[in-house]
Amino acid sequence: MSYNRTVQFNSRRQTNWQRNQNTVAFASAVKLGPISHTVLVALMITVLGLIYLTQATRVSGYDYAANAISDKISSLTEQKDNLEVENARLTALQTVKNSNVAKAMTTPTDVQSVSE
Amino acid sequence: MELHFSPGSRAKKIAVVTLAAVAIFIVRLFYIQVIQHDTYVAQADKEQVKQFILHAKRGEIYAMDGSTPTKLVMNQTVYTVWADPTQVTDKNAVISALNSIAGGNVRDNFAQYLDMNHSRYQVLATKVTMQQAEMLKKKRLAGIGFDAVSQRVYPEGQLASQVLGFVDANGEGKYGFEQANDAQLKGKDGLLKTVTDIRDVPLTVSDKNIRQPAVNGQNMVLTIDRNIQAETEQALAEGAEKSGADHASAIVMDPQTGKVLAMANVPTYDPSQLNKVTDVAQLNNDIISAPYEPGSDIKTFTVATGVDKGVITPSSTYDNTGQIKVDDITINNATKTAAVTGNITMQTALNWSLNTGMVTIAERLGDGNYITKQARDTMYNYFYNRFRLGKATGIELANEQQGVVISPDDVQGNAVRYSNMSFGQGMDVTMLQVASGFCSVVNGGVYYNPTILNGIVSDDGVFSEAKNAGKTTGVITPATSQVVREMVHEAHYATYNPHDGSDRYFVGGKTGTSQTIKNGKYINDQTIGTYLGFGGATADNPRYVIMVEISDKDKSMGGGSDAKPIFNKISNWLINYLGLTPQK
Repeated sequence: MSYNRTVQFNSRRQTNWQRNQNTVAFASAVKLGPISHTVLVALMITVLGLIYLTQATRVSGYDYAANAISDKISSLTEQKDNLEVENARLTALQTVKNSNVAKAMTTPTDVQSVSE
Repeated sequence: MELHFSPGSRAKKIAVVTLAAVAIFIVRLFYIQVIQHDTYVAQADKEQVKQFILHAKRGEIYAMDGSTPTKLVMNQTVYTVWADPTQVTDKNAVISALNSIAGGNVRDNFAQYLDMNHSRYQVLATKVTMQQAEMLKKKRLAGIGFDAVSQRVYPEGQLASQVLGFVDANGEGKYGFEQANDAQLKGKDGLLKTVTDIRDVPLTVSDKNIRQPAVNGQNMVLTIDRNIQAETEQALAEGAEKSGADHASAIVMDPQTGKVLAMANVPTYDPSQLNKVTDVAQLNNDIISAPYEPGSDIKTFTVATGVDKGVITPSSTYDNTGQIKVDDITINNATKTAAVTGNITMQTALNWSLNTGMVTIAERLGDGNYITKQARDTMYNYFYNRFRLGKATGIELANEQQGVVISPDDVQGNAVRYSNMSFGQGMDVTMLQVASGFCSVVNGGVYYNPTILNGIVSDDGVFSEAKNAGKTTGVITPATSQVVREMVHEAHYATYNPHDGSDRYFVGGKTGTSQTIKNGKYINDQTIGTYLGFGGATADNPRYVIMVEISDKDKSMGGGSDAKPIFNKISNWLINYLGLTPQK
């Protein structure tokens, strides 16, 4: 079985080296030309743009959620107002006066007041 | 990076062409993005930035229910259902749905509007409730739209309608409290300027968004007590029907504060059904808008002036011959019985409402024999400056009229005029002015500016009482007030004692039957009946003042026969409602 090395290590021992200094330097075997560089930079810019767009879209998504909540609040407020109106109508004097309870009431035959 | 091309190579040509194309793009983009920047920004804003009005909620109006504010005018969102006839695909479905769900709110023959293809907006139904609108929306009818509209609703029906006024289609308050307090009730609309998507949903991705929140109108509380108001309206309607009168008015006030507790007129109207009002006069609140000659009610003011100036007491006497001459005019009494002829007291003159007694007081304010300039100045000072008859009160209601009390400095302010004024003719005043002035007569001499504004209710429902509307002390002395209260109390029972138990309290009042002018002359076959009185548990603490007026065209309405029964009904009911302690 044989295999190829894709990474080459160049020993630095031939050169002057000092303590705590790497003695092996990395050098990629893949060579990138100027056009590849340009394409890569363009791709990175595109990715950044996409990231920006996704974030901006996410903010818009919040807007839709907020708008939906706002609509719901309006609807509930409207329902609350309607219930308040209904409550006021049910406790209005005419309603109370015409209620079955009021109709069943009788006038006292004799009333006496006590002076203080 | 350095590119090397062979001279004349195709690569070089492609590079040149590409560079040229890129240059064109750059120049074009520069033109669009830099030179035309503002134009395109404006164009984009026009399409993307929308402006919405945030409508302020109109303040609600409350009345008092005892000591608790209760809602009298509220807001409710209703819907206008409209159609775009060009988009309606199933007319039968629309007609069927509207008839079954909003049958009572559709326009007459609304189906015909579905055929008007030249228009894209035809109203089919109005004032549709939220529930009805939801049911219609579920039908998913093509070409049908809904507009939300806020409208005033009146849970108490037509109670106090002429006090309240109404709100017109433009949201403007008209008549009554709504008009006079329109600015406070209306609030201030807000503004929302924002980038929107295609469905007009506001988006936050812009630095141009503006949001100015709406400021809702104030919730305002009237001094009107809904129980007193309802009782007053009922008593008034029954009294007018019994007397066969087409018009009657009544006001109830608290003499210790100047607060109006009830204010009612017959006929009235239902503010939620304005389309049924056939006579615009029904919208007026005559108590503040219709000055008239008040008649004999004013005798209480003349007596108060005489007592306060020290020219009479209840037991002062004068010779009553049934008539009295002032310059070239002879003034007669309405009552000519022998029992009140001869040497009688001022109390008797008040009890029997004798004009001669009041003219005598006016004369005694002068030299004793004639209504001199000094007498007229004194009367004017009391009537106009102190009791404020003929002066607008400034009550928080629209269309208040001030009336006319002619000054003695005016050429018409002569002795004849002032002799008439002593018994309530020859001047035009409103019922509110008379009732407010009478409050100061019976409460110890303090004039409280009449008010109908009791305070405000915050959005949290907290009631804050309004500042006092203002007062003037020393209108008459407390001693004078006490004397007049006793005199008016006696006058009330001199001609009325139905044994209904009211004599266990301290009730007083004075009739008024005023002639009206027809073709420039006073006539007796068209009179206005009024009654002005007060009540309380004890003599020193009047708790309410009531004034009633009743009239009809070409009919004679009497103060005692027509207005007083209405006063009594309201007064007796108030005694119970206020829980006054009987004294006997």
